[in-house]
Amino acid sequence: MNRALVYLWIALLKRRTLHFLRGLRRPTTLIGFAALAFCFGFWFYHRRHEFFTHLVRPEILIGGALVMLGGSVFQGFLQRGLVFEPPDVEFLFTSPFTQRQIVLYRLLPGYLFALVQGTVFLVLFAPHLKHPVMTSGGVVLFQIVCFHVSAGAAIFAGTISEAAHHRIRWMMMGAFFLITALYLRGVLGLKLIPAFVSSPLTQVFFYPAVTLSDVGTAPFLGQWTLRWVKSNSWSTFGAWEAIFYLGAFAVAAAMSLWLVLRLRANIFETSLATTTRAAERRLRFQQGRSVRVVELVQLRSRRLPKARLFRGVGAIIWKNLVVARRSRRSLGLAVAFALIYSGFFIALRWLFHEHLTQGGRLPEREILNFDRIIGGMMCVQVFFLQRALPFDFRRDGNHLVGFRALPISPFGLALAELCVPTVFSFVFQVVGLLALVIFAHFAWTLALLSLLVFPAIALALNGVWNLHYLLAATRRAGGKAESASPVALLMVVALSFLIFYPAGWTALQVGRHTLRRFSEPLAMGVGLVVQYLVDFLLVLILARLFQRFEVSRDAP
Amino acid sequence: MLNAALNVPAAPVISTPLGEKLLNIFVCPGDVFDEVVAGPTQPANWRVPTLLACLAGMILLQATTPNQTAAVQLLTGAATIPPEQRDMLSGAWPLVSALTVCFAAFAGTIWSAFVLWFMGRIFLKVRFSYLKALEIVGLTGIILVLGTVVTILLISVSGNVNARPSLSWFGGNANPGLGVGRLLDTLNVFHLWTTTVLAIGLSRLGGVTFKEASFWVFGYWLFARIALIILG
Repeated sequence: MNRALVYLWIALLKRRTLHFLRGLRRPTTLIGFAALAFCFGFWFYHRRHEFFTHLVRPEILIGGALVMLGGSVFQGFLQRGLVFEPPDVEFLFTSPFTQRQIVLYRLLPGYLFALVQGTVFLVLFAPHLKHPVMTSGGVVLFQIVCFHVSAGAAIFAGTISEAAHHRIRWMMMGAFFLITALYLRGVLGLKLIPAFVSSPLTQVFFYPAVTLSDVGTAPFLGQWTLRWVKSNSWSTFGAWEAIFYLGAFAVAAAMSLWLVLRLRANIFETSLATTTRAAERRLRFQQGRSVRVVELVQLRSRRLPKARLFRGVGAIIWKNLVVARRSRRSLGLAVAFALIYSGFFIALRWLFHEHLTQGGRLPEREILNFDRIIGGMMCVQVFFLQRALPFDFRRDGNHLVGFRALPISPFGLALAELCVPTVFSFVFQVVGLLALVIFAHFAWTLALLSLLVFPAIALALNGVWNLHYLLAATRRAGGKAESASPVALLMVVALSFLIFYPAGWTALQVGRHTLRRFSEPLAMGVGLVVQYLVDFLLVLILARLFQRFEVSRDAP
Repeated sequence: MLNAALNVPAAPVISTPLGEKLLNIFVCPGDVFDEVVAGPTQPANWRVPTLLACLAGMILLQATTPNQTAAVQLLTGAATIPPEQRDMLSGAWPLVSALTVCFAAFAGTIWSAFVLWFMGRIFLKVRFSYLKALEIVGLTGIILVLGTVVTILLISVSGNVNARPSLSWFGGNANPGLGVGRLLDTLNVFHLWTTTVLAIGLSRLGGVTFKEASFWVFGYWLFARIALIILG
């Protein structure tokens, strides 16, 4: 070994070490290093654990040695030549060093690595070895052997043709697989190849180098035939009928495919338009906007009413009311849904009342619980209604920048935006509730309580969906990529439920820790207050988001 | 001069009848495959030899299971089954075996053609028609027919239903169901012949050297098979 090369290697090593230590100032490098140090510390702390005893069993060590050796051969073979640093190539290859000296210089980092690896091995496994130093020395030397083998394979692979390299590479892969499978089977008792693979039936995969009678007389086939004869299930009418239907459907599927493939129409033009439409709808859905594309029709403008409610920020409410009036389809859908949904529960409560009047007896508590369930289901209605009543930020994507110039507070604007869908939802629920009280004798005390609960729920749900819309719009305006839509939608749906968790949890705690007589009303009251507080926070967040919103490029 | 040489039309491919092709496979498979590669696709090239293989396979089945009662006894073992089921089994078993042999011949041809096509496409990086590969495998199947005939003759001469033209013939009483017996069975003269012919076919199809083609073909048809027997 040339002394100059040793000096060069030591100088470069020192420089790299210093560079690495300086690099630790960067958080990412430091975190990586800390993780490695933590990992080592963890293993060191538990080095006397039984798990380490298993790791130094001869069969495991042999397995590790095989992996090291095989990996070295394969890695070196794939390299097809020794890898140097580009400055090394310029300096060393033009200098008066012999090939042996250069190869040794290339191996020096490997030797250092082997030494470090041996030291780590000694530190971790010393308590479980009879001769720790000797064994660690063996590990170091074996690692050095692996480096030599790798270098040799790399040099050899560089001398052979591309085709031979390709062939030998696959041959090595096959050999490694065979050795691994044999090792796993012999040492650990693991069979990589399932038993059925060695069945005579699998000889089919090696046709025409087969003996066909072996396939025809395979034991599996005999057992199958025997089972078939014993059960005789195939000869029963049921099985044949099922087979017939299966066959008929298979023929139908094949025929329909044949017919479809025979169609001579040009699919490209029609598909292009359909694909564009579908993509537009998907995009609008992902962005939380209405899926239906608004048709450009001439609409008459409406005068602002003189009522004080619609002055100032109230003008936004008026605007949204006008939008709602023009969205007859959405409103019609919401009305139809509310009618069907409320109608079902009204009918249920009416039947319940009918059974009670005809002599059915139930304790008061049970009746109250039934009414509570009905009331709860009426609350759930908003979950479905809010998608049909998007007369809020979701319809104002292209006006948001304009709104920022208005002399109104963001909080007021956010509240005004949420007002129309919340009021609509509330009205639908109240109508259903009134019908319940009038026609189905629903408990009026619960109905009164529901009047306080419904707006809180409607506000919360509309707030969550508007939050999702504004977040998406802010991201779009910031030029950031869209988040994965299914995940985002799932999160919004989850949030729609979680938004009621604080109120529910508080009500439960209050109910548990107060006197029995007052516990229920108190819990409900506290829960309601908490829910309104959450709603307030939600509106505040919406206002903040609206403030941060810069530029909208939303299409209508 | 060079232009003149370039303008000389390629020699027309002489199309030989199928029977002649099937016979030539035994003596000059390379020429047959050259003709197949150059000519248009002919489904008869793989259908006829495969049908012949089915027929030979069914005859071999009869030779290996001469006594139905013994075969049924072997299937049922110590278990007792009613006479009507026994009759049904003795009727159904040959039918199932024969159908399986026919299915195996056709499925095996299609699969092996796919393997050849896959080897060419992925490992050798050459493109050729799958139908051509199907023809090559089908024509090679005629060697299987000869192998089956020889096996039938060996069985009838020796009276041993496990007799095969392979190393197991010299293995004496090695159980064909066990690893060693199956390993010896794998080293069948006709199997090796077939594999060599397939390698020639792949080299002709892909326009690669026989050495390269045989690496992949023997790797799959011989070594992978042996590995499966050892590891299975």
